Amino acid sequence: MKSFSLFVSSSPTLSHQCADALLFAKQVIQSGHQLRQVFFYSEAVSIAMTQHQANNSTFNLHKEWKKFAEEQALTLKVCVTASLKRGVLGTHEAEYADQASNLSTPFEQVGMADYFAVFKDEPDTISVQF
Amino acid sequence: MNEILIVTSHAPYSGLQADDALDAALAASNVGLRVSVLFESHGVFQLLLGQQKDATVNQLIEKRMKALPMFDIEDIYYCKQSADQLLPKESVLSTIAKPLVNQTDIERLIDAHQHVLRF
Repeated sequence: MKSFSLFVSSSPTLSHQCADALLFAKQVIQSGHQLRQVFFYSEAVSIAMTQHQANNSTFNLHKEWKKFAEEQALTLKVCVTASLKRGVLGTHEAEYADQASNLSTPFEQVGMADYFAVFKDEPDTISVQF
Repeated sequence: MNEILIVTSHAPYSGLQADDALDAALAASNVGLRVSVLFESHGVFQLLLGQQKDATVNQLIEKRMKALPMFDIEDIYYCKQSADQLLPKESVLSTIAKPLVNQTDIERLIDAHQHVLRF
């Protein structure tokens, strides 16, 4: 069994990479491997926003990531620095800025060190970037 | 073997990617991973000396780059082919990064790392 860390940095609206990451994540589980973590960075952080709405004929990637994470009891890590730069606010940051939070669970803001710490502790983890 | 190679290929001040790459390098180093950085394609513009602030730029990439050795990031390289193709002849580059002359050097660098992140 192999352990995978997914690093998603591509925009969910300007490329298909964020959707490819979801398909890959599902395949990791189906193949009996471990999905160690999923981390959203750069433009990909906008996938965590509650305001993502799609019309009935459009694939709702935000909803699909949420559904997948809930089924797998997985926390979707979102880089706090990258998301603040792009207007994605968790509860704590929203309180501080006196604004409403727009971060959807099970997305959770963490520091980037949280992603890299896994490689320090588990050097065999395979990192895949989308 | 170094653990993480950060490849940065966007020009500074053209978006957030150049800063994202540096943030990633510093975060990886902060947890004790051995980090290398490669500037390629338009990323070589980040190495130009003499960058200046204006109303839209808060922090100069040039200044952030100088801090890399203080975070134990000393394996810093740039693609010479990109620099030759893209930068004006009179350009002065930071000496913090060492040139990699051909594609084979870059391939070797990538092979020498366990993880690669591209920005």
